Amino acid sequence: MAGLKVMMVSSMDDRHLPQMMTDGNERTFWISTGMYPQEILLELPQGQGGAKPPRGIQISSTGIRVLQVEASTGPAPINFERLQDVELPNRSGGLQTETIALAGGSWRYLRLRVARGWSDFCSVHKLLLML
Amino acid sequence: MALRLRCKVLLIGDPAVGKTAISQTFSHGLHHFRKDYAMTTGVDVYMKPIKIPEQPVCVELFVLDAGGDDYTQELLKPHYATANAFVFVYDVTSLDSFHHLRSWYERVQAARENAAVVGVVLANKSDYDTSGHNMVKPHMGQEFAKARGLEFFDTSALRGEVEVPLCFLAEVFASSYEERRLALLEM
Repeated sequence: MAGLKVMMVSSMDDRHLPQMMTDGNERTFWISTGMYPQEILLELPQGQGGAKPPRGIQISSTGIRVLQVEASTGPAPINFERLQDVELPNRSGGLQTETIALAGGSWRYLRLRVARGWSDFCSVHKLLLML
Repeated sequence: MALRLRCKVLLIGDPAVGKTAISQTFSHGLHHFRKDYAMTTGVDVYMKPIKIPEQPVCVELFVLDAGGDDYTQELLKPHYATANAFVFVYDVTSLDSFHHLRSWYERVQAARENAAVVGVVLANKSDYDTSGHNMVKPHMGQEFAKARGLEFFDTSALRGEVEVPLCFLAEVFASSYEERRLALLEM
């Protein structure tokens, strides 16, 4: 998805780069390399000329159990507010799809924190902004 | 750049079976083996990177060591569900420590709901002669391990023999990562 930028991830495998979460292709993915929590820091596109901020973000993943969603208005990625804690269903390694509402402000940064997993490793296949 | 994996390992067993000696000898070498006994009263964490042979992979083992008494085990409990692997330790000179291993295992299993318990059983202090009464014979430990799908190892932290079981766990973890990665590629 153009405009959504991955700034930081807590795990790195050169074969599964963070940009693979935002390339629009569900077959490519980022994978955690062990232990929780895991974090993904995103920069949201900034509305220009009165464009509305995104309503939410859709996440396609595997192995995530507890996802904590935090947001910051910037300008630096600090002072995050907790938006939601979500418990995702166990799909036994299959794809999970969850939509997170981004209510309450013009957020600049989004932090997805996987506090717990259903398995040793989790993966994120697609991040899609809901406009 | 080598891939770095992170694996959380819990040392489980009665007080004084040698859990701390195992973790200290593993992370710092034999010269750190303590001749005196100081009871562990909190949770200590030791990290050691293990290079996987013939692969560009390094597994950082985070070994958590807590005292075996009820109070300090409470501190370790939250990790039962989230650990990646377990090291169940008994002392070959203490039948009690071996018999208690069953309830240690059951506590871990209950906390993990349906998740598998991956791990090893260590018969520690194997530098002692176990031919006498009240000693745990090797076949007892082997049977305990086999019945639960765990790998059995004779160890002596005193002789510095703790690398093999922990490197084994690192290799199992690296294989499980690769298996998961390949399954996702085929999804």
